[in-house]
Amino acid sequence: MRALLRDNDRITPFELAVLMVIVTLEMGVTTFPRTMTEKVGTESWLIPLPGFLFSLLAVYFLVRLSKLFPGKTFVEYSQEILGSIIGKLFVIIVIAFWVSTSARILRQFADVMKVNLLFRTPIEVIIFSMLLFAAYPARYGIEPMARLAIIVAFVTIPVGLFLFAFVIPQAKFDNLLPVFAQGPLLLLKAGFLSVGSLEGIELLLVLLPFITQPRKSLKASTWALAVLWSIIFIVNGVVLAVFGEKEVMYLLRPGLTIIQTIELPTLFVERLSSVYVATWVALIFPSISMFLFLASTSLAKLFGLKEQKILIYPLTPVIFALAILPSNVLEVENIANFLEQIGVFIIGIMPLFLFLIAKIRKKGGSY
Amino acid sequence: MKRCSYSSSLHMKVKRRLTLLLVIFLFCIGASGCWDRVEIDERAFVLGVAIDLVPPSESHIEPIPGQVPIRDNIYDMTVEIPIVSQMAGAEGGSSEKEPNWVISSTGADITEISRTIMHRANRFLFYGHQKVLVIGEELAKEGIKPIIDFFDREPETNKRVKLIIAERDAKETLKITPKLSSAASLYIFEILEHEHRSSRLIDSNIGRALVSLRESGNALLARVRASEEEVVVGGSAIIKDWKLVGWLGEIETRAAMFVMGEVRGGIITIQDPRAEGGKISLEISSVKRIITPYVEGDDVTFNIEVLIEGDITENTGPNLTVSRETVEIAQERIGVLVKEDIKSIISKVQQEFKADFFLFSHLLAARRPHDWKRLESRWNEIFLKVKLNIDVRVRVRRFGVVR
Amino acid sequence: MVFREWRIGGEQGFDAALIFVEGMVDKTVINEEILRPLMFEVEETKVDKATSNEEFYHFILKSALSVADIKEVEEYDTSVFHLMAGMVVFLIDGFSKAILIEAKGWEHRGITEPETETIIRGPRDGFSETLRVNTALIRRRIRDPNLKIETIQIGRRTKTDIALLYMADIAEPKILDDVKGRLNDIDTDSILESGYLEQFIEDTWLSPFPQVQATERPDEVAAGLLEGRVGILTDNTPFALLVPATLNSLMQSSEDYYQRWLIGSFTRLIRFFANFLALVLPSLYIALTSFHPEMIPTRLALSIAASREGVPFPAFMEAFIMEGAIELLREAGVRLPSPIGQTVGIVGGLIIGEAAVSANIVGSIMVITVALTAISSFAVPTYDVAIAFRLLRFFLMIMATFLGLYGIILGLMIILSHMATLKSFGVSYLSPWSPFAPSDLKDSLIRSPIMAMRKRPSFMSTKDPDRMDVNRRDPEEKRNGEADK
Repeated sequence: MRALLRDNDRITPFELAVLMVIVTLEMGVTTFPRTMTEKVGTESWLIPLPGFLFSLLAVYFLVRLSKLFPGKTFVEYSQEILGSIIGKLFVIIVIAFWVSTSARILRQFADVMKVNLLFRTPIEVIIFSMLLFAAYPARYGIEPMARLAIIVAFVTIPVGLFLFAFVIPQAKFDNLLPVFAQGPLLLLKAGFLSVGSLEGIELLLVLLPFITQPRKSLKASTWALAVLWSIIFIVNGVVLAVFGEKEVMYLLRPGLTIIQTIELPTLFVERLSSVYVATWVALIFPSISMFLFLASTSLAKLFGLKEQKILIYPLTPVIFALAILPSNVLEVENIANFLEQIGVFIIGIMPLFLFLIAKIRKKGGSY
Repeated sequence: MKRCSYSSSLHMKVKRRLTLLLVIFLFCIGASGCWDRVEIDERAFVLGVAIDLVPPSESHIEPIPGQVPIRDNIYDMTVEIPIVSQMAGAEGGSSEKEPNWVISSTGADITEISRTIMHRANRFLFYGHQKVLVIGEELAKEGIKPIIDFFDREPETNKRVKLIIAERDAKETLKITPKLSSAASLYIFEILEHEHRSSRLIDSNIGRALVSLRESGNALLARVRASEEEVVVGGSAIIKDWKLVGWLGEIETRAAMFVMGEVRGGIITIQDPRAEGGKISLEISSVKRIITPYVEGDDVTFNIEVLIEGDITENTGPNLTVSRETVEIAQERIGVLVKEDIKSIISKVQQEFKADFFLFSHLLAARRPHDWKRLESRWNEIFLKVKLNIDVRVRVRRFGVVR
Repeated sequence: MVFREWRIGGEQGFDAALIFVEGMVDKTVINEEILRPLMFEVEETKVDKATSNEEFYHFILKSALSVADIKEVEEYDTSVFHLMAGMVVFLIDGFSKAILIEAKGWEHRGITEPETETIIRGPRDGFSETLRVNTALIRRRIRDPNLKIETIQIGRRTKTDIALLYMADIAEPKILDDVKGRLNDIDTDSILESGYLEQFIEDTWLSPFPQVQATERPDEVAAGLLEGRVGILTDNTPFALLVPATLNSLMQSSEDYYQRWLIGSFTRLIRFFANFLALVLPSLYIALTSFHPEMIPTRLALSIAASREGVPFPAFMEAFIMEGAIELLREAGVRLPSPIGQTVGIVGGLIIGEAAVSANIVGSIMVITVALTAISSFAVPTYDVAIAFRLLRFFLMIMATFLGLYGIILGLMIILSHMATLKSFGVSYLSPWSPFAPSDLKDSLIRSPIMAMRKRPSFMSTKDPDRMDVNRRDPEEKRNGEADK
């Protein structure tokens, strides 16, 4: 605990885990049941099992990489491993991915806002206000963001799960059947691809050197993955059990619509789905901040700048422009699918690839 | 530690810039207005919507010249809006005037009519508190799909809005002022919310109906009828391929709900065979239903097990004390009664309506995926020949405060 | 300033003078204990036997003055400083030294019950304006030689006495050094109240949140010292400062620890809830009525609509008018003498509220909202925190006016982000929730039984982490165990 008192820009393994969970829980989770069901039908609720295994592998290699290059982020070690030019290219791809992912999240979020809370407010205002405010903690570095994430996690995740508990009485477990009708291969493939939508894992590319107890980082991120996949498991399972395969595929965001079906005698709040959407605002906020931080930190390291925070406000117009670029919801979905594939490349393939090359070329530290 | 508060003027500068940015932001949105702000007293709360079909002779829309004339249905939409100034508590409210405004308009699609009514009412029509959507008989026979789409897509509307089919005209149901409730829509809504008290009507809301409708096009929806003085809610309407094909009475509805496993309460009364006029009433406290499909070739059999638990609330038999015999009679007779009800409803569904709204197909797909793949294409024929083994068991748990 | 000159030791004696500031010294001490022995007893007993001047001087210094605290100084400035602080300066002709005699005594307010932090159960004494009285109040509570009291003077002109209090074997030295460093850095001409100090030493002065805890209660300071915090007492004010301060510590009242733990926990939960209400209630009213009426239960929505029927203003104007009126009333009530203040409250609260509703200027639901908000904001134990949240309430109302519920959540997030960036003397402002310290949660939203809080707060990094023997058995368990035998 003493280390906490003074060290700025250091986070504990626990904080790392919380950040991973919070950053991953963005709007994608609400469409997750649909995209997964489109791929594997009623087995979609089983995807968390292979998904967990694959993401664990990715995390394992990321942690090993960080141990090979202690105190270095991926910006430095990928240049060492791949050589300066290819390494820089990779870094730029990742940064572009972060920038566009945060734009994608913002856009999806704004779309959700427009159909749930603010029907007539221009999408630009929603995106701009969120971006502007989310940039504030990002300027202060990793420590305040970890603090913020903890509070957000403690407030929103219980509220979200609590709301989900009300849905469970409507679940018909026959909707979860049949399972294993199509063989395991499809499930494994879908599990591997689903890794691409776990943005939280990418935090490890940058954040591992900031950990106070690096030995515990693997354990902490494993826990984060376990919590994350459990949440996805609950959401996917409940949504599928309530709606059934066809309705899930019909709904744009089954993870949101499901809350509208809660049938409760009127409490103090009539429409629980609005409360649920409001908790999403709180969940999106740290994600956007985190991506801004990641992108600005990596850029600063790439260009050899000392401070990352001067890059944050220059980044916001780029993200803003990207976020308002797509013309409609379908286009946003296409972009999301594309980004998911890039995500598979960055999280699913690159860590293993980098690690193997590092081993072959004998780069990095002794163990 | 570095004393940031003293040493860095940069820190200050940054903060000042941030504040400036904030101020600019606030000014920007302040100047352009607040798009979604509509004061609560500027909204017209739509409590209920009733939609009827305008008879073709009465429709006045001319086909646009040069375009293919589309045979289009003309809808008559009626909304019920509470007049808040008439409500108790508001200044100058009086109980003599009508508490609600029931206003109708016609048009070719719901959005259009909605705009017309908004125009006439000079208020924002607000569907956020809509409670019921009543569809008239004639329209339901034409198909409810185009109607529901608006309410499904409209984000303001709740998924909990009750979807009801009216016998005859739907608009009549909203015109009646119930005695103990301020609006017909609220009255119908609350009756359906208390569905579990009797299990004789079906609590069908848009959200749940759509799950079933999109799965198969079939659903059981609540039935409502406007009589002279009051609104009668009870029984159900059978929807097949999004179209109304028939009605179920209250007892039939309960039987259907037994099959669907949605009975949560209600009273079942039987004759006491031991004496003339003797009756035993059982109040259902819980029901368990288990359906298991069996497939042999093309023969499909469903085992339906129903376990009813309940309390005896009335016993007017020969000896008024509830004896072991009474309990046994009640358990057996009620079991037989419910079994017969279920049998008849399923055969009615099979023979008369030829529609699988108990979603047996879904069950088969879930439990017997391989057989289902084989039978899927011929399911409509096979369903008619599905055999049933019905097993109803009744357990009497309590019988009030006397023996 | 009084100069009393006389000749000491008769004809062959010396000219002598007493200098003191009228009103800051105890005249009885001067008359009885200084002048009487110097004028009469010295005359009678010793002066003719004195052979040398030196001996005479020493005799005066050692044996003649019957007061407890005397001091020799040679510098002019020091003696002037002490003179200003209430010492009596005794000058004897022919000696280049001044004798400072402690005879401080001025009119001061007695120890009374603190008015800002009243409690039901607990000691009634509060700090007064005199530093020495205040330090004594602490010393009486902690009879541990490890309680160190260091006094320094700050203020070029006021030379205000500042006492730094800490437990030498508990307080983390880094925090202590930090506090000392910041105090020594202060360069100003005056410290008139501890509020000056607070603003000089806090980490982020642009923040609305207090990062230093101000209290009038000695028991609060004593408890803080025992948690490893540093107390700063300032002369001439009853408000002591405690650092570091966290949001959690500012939301606590010393009474929480005096009551049974369930009751203490309950009141704390109420307090947090009240604080939250005070922060968001008016903005929620704006957001729900003019943006999201679908969230209000139907019947309530209709009755709000009915109550707003005929009100000419939009909901946010309504809210700003009423909140503004409440702030006005509060400020007026504070400035007026207390009996009139109460009248203002009644007139403002009841009559204006009632009249505003019947004149259709505001809806009745709005009046309920405002009243509930005002009551909630008074449930916060620390005035500084309450007023910070009161200010932020207006910020949230503006956000709600533009963006509804989304604006409120966004506003809350920015407030939270700001709190996450705050640190008070290196301790995170949101401790113990974030950074998450599970063991410290025992004393946060709830107040665990005293026996369960065997350790001091870990985020304070205290030298001596244990309050009691960590492995000791529960006394209750122990008693039961003995009874069984």
